[in-house]
Amino acid sequence: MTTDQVETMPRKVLRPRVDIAESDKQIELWLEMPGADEKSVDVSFEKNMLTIKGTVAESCCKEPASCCCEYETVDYERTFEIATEIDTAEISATIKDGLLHLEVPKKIEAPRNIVIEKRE
Amino acid sequence: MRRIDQIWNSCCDFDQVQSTINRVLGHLPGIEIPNVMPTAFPLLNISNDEEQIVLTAELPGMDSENIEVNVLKDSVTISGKMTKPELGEDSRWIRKERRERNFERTVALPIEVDVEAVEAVYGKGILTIRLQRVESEKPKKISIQAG
Repeated sequence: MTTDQVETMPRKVLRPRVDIAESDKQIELWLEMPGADEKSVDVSFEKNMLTIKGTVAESCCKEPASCCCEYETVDYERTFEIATEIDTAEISATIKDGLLHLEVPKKIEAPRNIVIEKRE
Repeated sequence: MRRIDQIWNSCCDFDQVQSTINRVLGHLPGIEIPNVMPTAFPLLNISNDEEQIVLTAELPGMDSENIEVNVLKDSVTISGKMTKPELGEDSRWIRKERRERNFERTVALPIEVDVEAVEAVYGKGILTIRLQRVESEKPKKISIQAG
């Protein structure tokens, strides 16, 4: 495989491995995206769907003729359906060493007393 | 003739198939998804040129202090432990796909390297190890004399 062929091959997009934890207040996600950083990751939320995309700038193998590869450089994408109502303005995302950490707070509505009026 | 992008890469597509199976089975109550590990971990990419050998490994989310690299003149050993964050008292795991394990892998090198000239860098979840060839392993250009 020549360098030109490697560069023109469409890069694979894989679903990153994820750990998910939930509490009464929030949902936390940890996604593995080695090679990605804060500039190459995109997190969006629309209609109950949380979508994470990540791209990797550098290829793991620049000279295929002298390279033995057990893994290839890929991009990442994964979508989650969030059944709980969440506070989208307070979603936080941090990435360190290829691990993206998302904190998705749930929307907590204060209990409301309903006033009952007498019908005449 | 098939286009090069139609050639099936067995490693990555099996990973996709495994992820799909995990996702389908994960919706069934009471199903524990086994953490299926590849035989060798971490997977390595090795390249070499006239001066050095470069190894890279994907180890996302690790503390560099938990990664150990040991080099002999003809082998490299990468070891460490992948851990998960501690959860708060009121949190519970609802999905676990990431590995949490000790690992150790030794790779034999095809040439002798200088154990005093090793560089190991961990960044963006990728460990990169650069090993310099000893002088006797560097190719030497032979000049051709006219006969």
